Amino acid sequence: MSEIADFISKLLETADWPPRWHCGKWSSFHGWLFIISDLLVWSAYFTIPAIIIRYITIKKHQRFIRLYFLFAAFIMACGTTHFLDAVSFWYPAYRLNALIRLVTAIVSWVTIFYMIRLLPYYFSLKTPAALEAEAAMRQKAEQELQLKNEQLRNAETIGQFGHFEWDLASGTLKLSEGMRQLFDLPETQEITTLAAYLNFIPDAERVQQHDLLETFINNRHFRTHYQNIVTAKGNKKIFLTRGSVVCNNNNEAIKIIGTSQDITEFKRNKQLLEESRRIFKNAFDYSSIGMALVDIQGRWINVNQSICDMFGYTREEMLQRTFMDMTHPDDIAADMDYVKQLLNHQIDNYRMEKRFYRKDGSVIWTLLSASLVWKDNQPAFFTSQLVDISANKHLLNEMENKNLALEKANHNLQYHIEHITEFNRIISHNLRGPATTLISAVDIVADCEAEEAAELLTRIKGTSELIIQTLNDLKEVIEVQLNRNVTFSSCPLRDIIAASTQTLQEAIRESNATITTRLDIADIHFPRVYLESVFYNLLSNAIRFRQEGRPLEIQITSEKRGDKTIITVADNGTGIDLNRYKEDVFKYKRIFHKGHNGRGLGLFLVKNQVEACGGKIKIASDGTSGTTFTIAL
Amino acid sequence: MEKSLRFAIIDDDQVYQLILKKTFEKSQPAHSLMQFYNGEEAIDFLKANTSNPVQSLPEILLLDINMPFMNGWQFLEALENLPIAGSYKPVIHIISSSPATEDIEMAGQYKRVSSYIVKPVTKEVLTGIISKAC
Repeated sequence: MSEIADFISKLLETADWPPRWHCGKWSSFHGWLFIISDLLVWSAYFTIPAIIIRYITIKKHQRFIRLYFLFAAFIMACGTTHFLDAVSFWYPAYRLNALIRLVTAIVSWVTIFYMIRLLPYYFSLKTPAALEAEAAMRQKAEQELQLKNEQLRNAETIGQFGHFEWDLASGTLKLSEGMRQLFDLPETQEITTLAAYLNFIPDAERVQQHDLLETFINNRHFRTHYQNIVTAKGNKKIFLTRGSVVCNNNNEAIKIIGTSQDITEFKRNKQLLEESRRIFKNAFDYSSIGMALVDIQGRWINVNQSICDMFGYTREEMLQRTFMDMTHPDDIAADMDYVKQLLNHQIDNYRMEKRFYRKDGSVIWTLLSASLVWKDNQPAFFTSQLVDISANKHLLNEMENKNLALEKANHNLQYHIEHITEFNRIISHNLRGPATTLISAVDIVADCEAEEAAELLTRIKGTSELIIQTLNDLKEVIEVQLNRNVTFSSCPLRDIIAASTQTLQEAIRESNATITTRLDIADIHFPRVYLESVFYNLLSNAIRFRQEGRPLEIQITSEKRGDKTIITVADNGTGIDLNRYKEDVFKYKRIFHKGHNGRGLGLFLVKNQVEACGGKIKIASDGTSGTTFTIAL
Repeated sequence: MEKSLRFAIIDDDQVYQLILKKTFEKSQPAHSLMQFYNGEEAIDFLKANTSNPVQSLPEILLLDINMPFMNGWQFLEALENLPIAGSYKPVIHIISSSPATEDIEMAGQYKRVSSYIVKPVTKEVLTGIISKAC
């Protein structure tokens, strides 16, 4: 014991030993190698714990933290022994040295025991690779969860539904994202209690809703029901809510889970549909138009009162009959034709005027509008609307007749106006002109020499004769227009043509003309004198305006076209430039060809004769290879 | 001193031509007069004389409407299509026996027509035409 006390009291004393330099034989090199190596080991053994401490402080949440401290202490202790070894070359504190070694030994063994104790735990630790794999798996699971959540959210958004879960024990309520959207909830607002949830139910229905949930809990059964909702933004919605009551093993209700779907639009559409159905029914029942549904066989399926009134049957009597039974036989074919087109998808609907028999056997005129309703691509039934137009029909007939008369009168008037205009022109140019000349001539004759005066007088006579001639022409045309002294008769065309060629035989022989005929219509109902005049003028024109050096050919045809008789007279003569003369061809005293002594009367007269008897005459010519006159009677 | 004007009558009425010529010789001896019996003759003349300086062509035309082959309106259109139409701008008076409004309106549509005169053409009318041209 005294040794120990002595050891402690003289712990730092060095008197009992010489410094190491003087103990044994140290070469300078050997000594300093010893000293420097020990100092390097000491400095290294002090740096390592510093690094360990620093490492621990930076990397928080380190496991084995005590072990790190033990390592640090043990290394530091080792370092200290090396330091004291180096110092003992000058300061041989061997007692302190021994004490430090003891401390080092104790710390080392404590570390060893601690490590042994940790060994089983250490063996249970995973390798870094295993850790990484686990982390990756977790990440993947998280991603999948996120994806699933997102899918759920999308499904909720698209399906306009949300999910809620009400834990009965804790009283907490969880709403899914979709549910929050249905309630128009802002992000900041949380709904976690039933009371907050019930706030979305209108005041009047809140208690009822609460009681309903109580009932579900009591019965362990959730009944699907509709909810009226006022959202956070004040929008009114209708939810269809389904759910179930979750029970534990003791059959105690512990949870209610459920989904709500926003069916506002669906409900609204349904209401609109209801409304339009009601409107249609009203329209159908009380319309003044006859309305009916008719099946594909033509049987009346449904009729309104108006139709019954129209036909004089009761509803029951109507339903025993068919559409066709009651239709006037003359209208069945047309109606069936439309029906066929409906069935073949050629038309969507049709309108026709048709006759039906009433119960009393009288005929009623109706305007029928019908269409076909399809169901699953099969014809289902016809909808028909009938309006009684018997009265209209009568008025319409009368009006049509009057319109026809008016049109005819109008036409006549037009014709007369044209003629008066033409006469006005003739009087201006062909009578007033020469008359003015006569006056001027008389004025001047007094101033003339005898010889000149004689010439002038001859001219005056000529002009006067021209006036008389014009007056005669006019008289003739006016008589034509007044239709005086003409009688219509059946004129054999062949005879008429023969009479004209007889009169013109000299000219025909001279011109060496060939006349061919193709007369499908042999007899024409027309005033004979006029017809002779027409042919005489057309033929003499053809001969007069023949093309030199081209044998004259004239073709005369007659045929029926529609309800008209068409007569054509075509030649291969010089033709006429219609671009230039079109307006003037049939006018009085219009002369287009030089060197022919035309009076400009023929075609004017022909046109008057044809038109006075209700016909029309037209000219066609290309200006070089001939002329064709077409008369329509 | 009054300058000498070149007149042309285009009219198919031979008696009227004769009378107008007489009236002209008596009352307006200073001026010359050409006579054509329809529009085509006048146009043929103008065509044949296109190489002459425009100054030698008639300066005043007295144009009838109703004529065979080429009437007054057709003459006006043919005149417009002549190669010399750009430089040859005679004063044209329509001389017609017709006081019909439709003819007067028609004449108004031709820019070259300066007046519409209803026959007869007296000394006074001629004097009026000449004094306007000088």
